[in-house]
Amino acid sequence: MYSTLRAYAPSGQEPFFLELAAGATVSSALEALGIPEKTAKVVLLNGRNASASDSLSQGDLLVLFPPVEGG
Amino acid sequence: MKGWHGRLLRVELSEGRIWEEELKEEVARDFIGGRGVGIHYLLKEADPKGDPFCGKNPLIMMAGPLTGTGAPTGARYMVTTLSPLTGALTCSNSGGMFPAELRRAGWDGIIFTGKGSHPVYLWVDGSKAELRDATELWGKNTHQTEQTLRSQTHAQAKVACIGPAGERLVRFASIMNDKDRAAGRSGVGAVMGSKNLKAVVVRGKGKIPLHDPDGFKELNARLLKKFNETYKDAPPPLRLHGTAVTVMATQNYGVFPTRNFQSGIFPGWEAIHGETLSKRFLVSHKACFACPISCGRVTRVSEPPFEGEGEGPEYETVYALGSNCGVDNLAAVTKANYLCNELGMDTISMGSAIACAMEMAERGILSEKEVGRHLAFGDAEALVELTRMTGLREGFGDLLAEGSLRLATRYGHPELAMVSKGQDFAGYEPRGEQGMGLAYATSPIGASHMRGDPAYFELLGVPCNVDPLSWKDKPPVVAKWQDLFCIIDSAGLCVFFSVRNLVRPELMAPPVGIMELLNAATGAGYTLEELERAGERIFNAERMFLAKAGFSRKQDTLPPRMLREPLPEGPGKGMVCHLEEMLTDYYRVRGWTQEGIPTNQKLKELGLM
Repeated sequence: MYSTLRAYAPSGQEPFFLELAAGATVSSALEALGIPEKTAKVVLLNGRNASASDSLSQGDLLVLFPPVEGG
Repeated sequence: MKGWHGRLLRVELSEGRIWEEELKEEVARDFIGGRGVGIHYLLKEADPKGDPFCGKNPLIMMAGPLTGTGAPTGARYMVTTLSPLTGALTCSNSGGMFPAELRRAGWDGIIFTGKGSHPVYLWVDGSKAELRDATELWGKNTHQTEQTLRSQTHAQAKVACIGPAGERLVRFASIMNDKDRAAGRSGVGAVMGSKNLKAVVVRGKGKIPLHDPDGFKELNARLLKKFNETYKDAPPPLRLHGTAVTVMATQNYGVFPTRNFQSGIFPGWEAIHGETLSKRFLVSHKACFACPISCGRVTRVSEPPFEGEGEGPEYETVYALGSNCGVDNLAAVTKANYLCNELGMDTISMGSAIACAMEMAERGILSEKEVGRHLAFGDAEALVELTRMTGLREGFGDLLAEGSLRLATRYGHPELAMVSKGQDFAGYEPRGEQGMGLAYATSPIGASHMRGDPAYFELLGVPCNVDPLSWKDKPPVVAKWQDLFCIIDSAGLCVFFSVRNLVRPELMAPPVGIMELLNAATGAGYTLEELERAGERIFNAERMFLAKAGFSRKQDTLPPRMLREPLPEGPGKGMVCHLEEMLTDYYRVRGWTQEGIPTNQKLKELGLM
């Protein structure tokens, strides 16, 4: 979790491990982290764009950052 | 005519003659300003096959109708000319305070032709303009030049100038303004140097006439209110950490160019990330004229041997001088950035040339004797020293100053230069970001990310996310964003604000907010269709110029590494850039022949013939 979304990391640090129930999705991970649905964000699952309904498996890497105006 | 002054300053340097020329209303309306008016004049006055260092090559500095008006990020101008790096047209953009000051002095732009018999600078004090001797300034760096010129003119004057690199015709020399802002790419500073023109100094306190001043003011207030609401909980990432915050995106997508584009994953990325820059060297953030984002970085490095202070590094710089050279020493990257600013050079092409040399050295193509030192990826001291030597054309720096393509060609390996049309790649790996590959190959100035940046929708979530590895869906979107950037660059706005705040959040990016601003400022009464057509007209006018210079599909290409060597690791592992498939569809979308030439029907439709 980067930039302004880092505030939602449990200890304010990253990377960290997140334990979720079997059958968890990207959406349930975001809920567990307390990130409001309306907060604009880019979500990557193992380096690819993720959608809320994507299933998560053991060892998956989830990356979150706010949209950026340019680089 | 409102919004535009309708006034251009013409300066013939060989004769020392200055006069005023009308910017005709129909030209202003059809080409908007900035980049658009620039290509209009280049088409009219330049020889497409001419020598960039010939006096006949016009150096066109053009602001937009929103520059200096107070419209959010209306701070920018475009420098249009023939590029000594690519041999084709270029346009190079900058913000800061200088462009707004030029407009407040009552001018929409300045066109220089000819060559001074000795070094000169142009002093524009409101409606008065004169050429002054600059012999004493020749050899001074950009910071010294700016300071001296203010003492010779006015304490609050704004300066655009070249440094020693521009004087020595380094092929990627920049024009620096307000100390550390750069019209960086393609060697516009070398063209200025070839004209013996050291600087342009401007003082202007006038008002820009607006069509509907009250409506314009209300519109700006509404835009700023919306912007502040978007960021009420947390400031924009660009203000917090600068453009180098983008490293988090490119690294995680596996498109952060590393060791001359041999990989898209850089193990030392966290050391050069924008967040690290904030922790280690940031003094303050800094905004251009009328900008609510404030992405500029004022920094200071106290660590020997890389001490210094100035502005930067931006994302493109931490890629070019950092990951692409395998350097994870942020102090060294920042120091090399300071040197580029002071000597007046593009950090992207500088890093690309050094990375190319590093790969050639590691492959045994370049010997230690030729370089004058051992050279390998990751060598932070070599990075800084070679940057200095390039700006002064000392030793091996004289070869680096020719740019990566000429360097690699000299040693028989042009395929090791990561360029398109001779222009060095920006900080995005085209195999892992297919739309960027198409944008690099078809950009009128060569491999620029700022002539229709697909990173917004491929990586940065603006306005949505499209898979960076897909290619079949990219041609119409890339074409649309190229036209959009023509509008932004011509209006005098900054892309960073425009794409999120002045464009309806749809993939095909209708520029409704820009239309409203332009209409309130100018009274031109653009419809959305007319404005989008103007963007397409400008892009096609640039393409016409390229066609006249002999460019076609053959030049719309990428190095073999991108087309034939699969990406070795990361999310895009195994991918090559599917350029040929995209090009065929892209030309069809554009209404061009399959050789990449605009058809007569398309040109007639756009009023270009």
